[in-house]
Amino acid sequence: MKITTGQRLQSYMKDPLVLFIAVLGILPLFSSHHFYLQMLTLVFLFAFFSEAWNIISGFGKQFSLGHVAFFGVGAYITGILYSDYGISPWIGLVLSGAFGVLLALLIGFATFRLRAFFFTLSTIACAEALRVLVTYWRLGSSGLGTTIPAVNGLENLTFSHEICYTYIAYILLLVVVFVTYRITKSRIGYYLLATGGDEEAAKSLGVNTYRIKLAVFAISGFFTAIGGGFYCMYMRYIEPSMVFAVDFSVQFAVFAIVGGLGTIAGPILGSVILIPLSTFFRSWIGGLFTPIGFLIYGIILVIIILFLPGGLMKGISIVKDKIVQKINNPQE
Amino acid sequence: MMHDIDRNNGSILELKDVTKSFGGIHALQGININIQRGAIVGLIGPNGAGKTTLFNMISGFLGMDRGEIRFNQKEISRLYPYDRSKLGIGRTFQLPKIFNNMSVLDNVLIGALQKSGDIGESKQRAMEILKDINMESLADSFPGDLPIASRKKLEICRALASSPTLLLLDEAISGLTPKETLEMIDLIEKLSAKGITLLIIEHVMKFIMNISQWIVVLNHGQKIAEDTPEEVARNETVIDAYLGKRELSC
Repeated sequence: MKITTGQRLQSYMKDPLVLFIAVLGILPLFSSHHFYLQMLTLVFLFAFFSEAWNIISGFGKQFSLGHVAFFGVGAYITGILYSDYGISPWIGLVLSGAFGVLLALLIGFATFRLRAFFFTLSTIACAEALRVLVTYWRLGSSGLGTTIPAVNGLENLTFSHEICYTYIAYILLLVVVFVTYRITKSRIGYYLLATGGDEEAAKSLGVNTYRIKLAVFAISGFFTAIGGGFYCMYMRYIEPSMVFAVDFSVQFAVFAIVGGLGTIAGPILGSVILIPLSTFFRSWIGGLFTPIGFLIYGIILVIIILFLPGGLMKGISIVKDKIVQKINNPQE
Repeated sequence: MMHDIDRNNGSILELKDVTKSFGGIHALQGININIQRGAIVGLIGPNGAGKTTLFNMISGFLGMDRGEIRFNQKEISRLYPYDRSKLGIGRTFQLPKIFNNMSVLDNVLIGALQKSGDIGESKQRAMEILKDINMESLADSFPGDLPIASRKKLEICRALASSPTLLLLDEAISGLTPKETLEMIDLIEKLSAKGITLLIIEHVMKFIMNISQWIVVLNHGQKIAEDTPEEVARNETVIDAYLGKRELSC
């Protein structure tokens, strides 16, 4: 029986993930304060990055800690093309995505024959090599750091109102969630899960695991590079130590791990909880007490990972199962 | 239980002078084997004889130093494991390699997707295979919760979904209870009745001698005998090298 578009829409509307994302989408309308809008922009943007990372590292279990390479390349391509050559950031974003794909294919080609930690280490090495390359190459007319000129207008991806950035980040998130959802329901998605589950078994069933990993890594790199381009236009400043910092890769991973690795909602949930939390510790307990804030943030992360190794999504699923069980068997 | 091997069917798998060394250790030395289409062939030998190494070479997980492997008259020595699977070689592993991150149905689906890219159609086929093996009630379970017998059966279902003509079973009954062993024997006979050629590694002599039509014996990487189970049981070289006189009842 063929499912109609109407039926499909109806089933989407019942999905808690769709409701969750929809609620997030209306939050900016109720946040007039610049500070909260900025925080929401970062929540959406990092949920986007984490979601893109999660495609290959969560579903495919290919744990990359070099995703900042795509991020940095995207930021530099979009930023330099705009600031030095006056090329629209929109074109810059498209080119960033294309370079993200090329870079992913290059890194993947060189590293996907490696197993587990060796792959992870090689991705860090690739990102670091790029950072060093960009540092010594001195990309951009103004030396190491490049300030992006601010000329307001949609064509320049520059806005005077924070909410415009917030909604562009939100749209980016929607796109990556939709693509991830489609992947998980496709043959590639099942093959990716099998590759992540046991690569040898997948090969014995006819799965070309190398090709699957390469294709999905390219998709992940594409989105991360586009996000890097947008981040550059949002921050209006780039330098190698900033946009190639391994911290970013770690953050993409942490949000997904805390939220729930290999789930679509996990990275979003991780960002929704951890970004406000880290902002709180940095801005409200900041000043002299900043290290204490970081310490508490770290302790919270350790507690979540220790007690919920499957992430918050696993916790939600356990609670949901218990409630369902209680409703079905009230005597127990 | 045991049926005669039909020599007119022709060989499905030919191994010629297959040799493999790991450093100074000769894992396999000049192995020549012909597997008849539709047969149940037992591959036996003491630990370290090279049985699993041979499986890995047939399925493409290990390369050879020398020799040739032909499957349905086609040279496959240089093909990747996934290409060999597509040609019709399925396998299970000594320790079941199950996708614990997927449901039982989705595990089988991975094999079924090889024949049809359509998810719905493949799920239907996967479900039919589970029904055929009496595992349909476990379709939505996650394999991590299953006992060893069900995990082994699931591995066979999954391989079956990729429509193999040759199935390599690595210790299909080790760790099973007598009742589970009988169920596994039924399943193997069912697979054989479908025309699937079976090459089975097993340490349980009673089982392998009863179910196989042909036995190949390896010892220290060399083929020391190849014959019917009765003849192998009487072979002095095999007795000396491996079986032990008191274990020879078929």
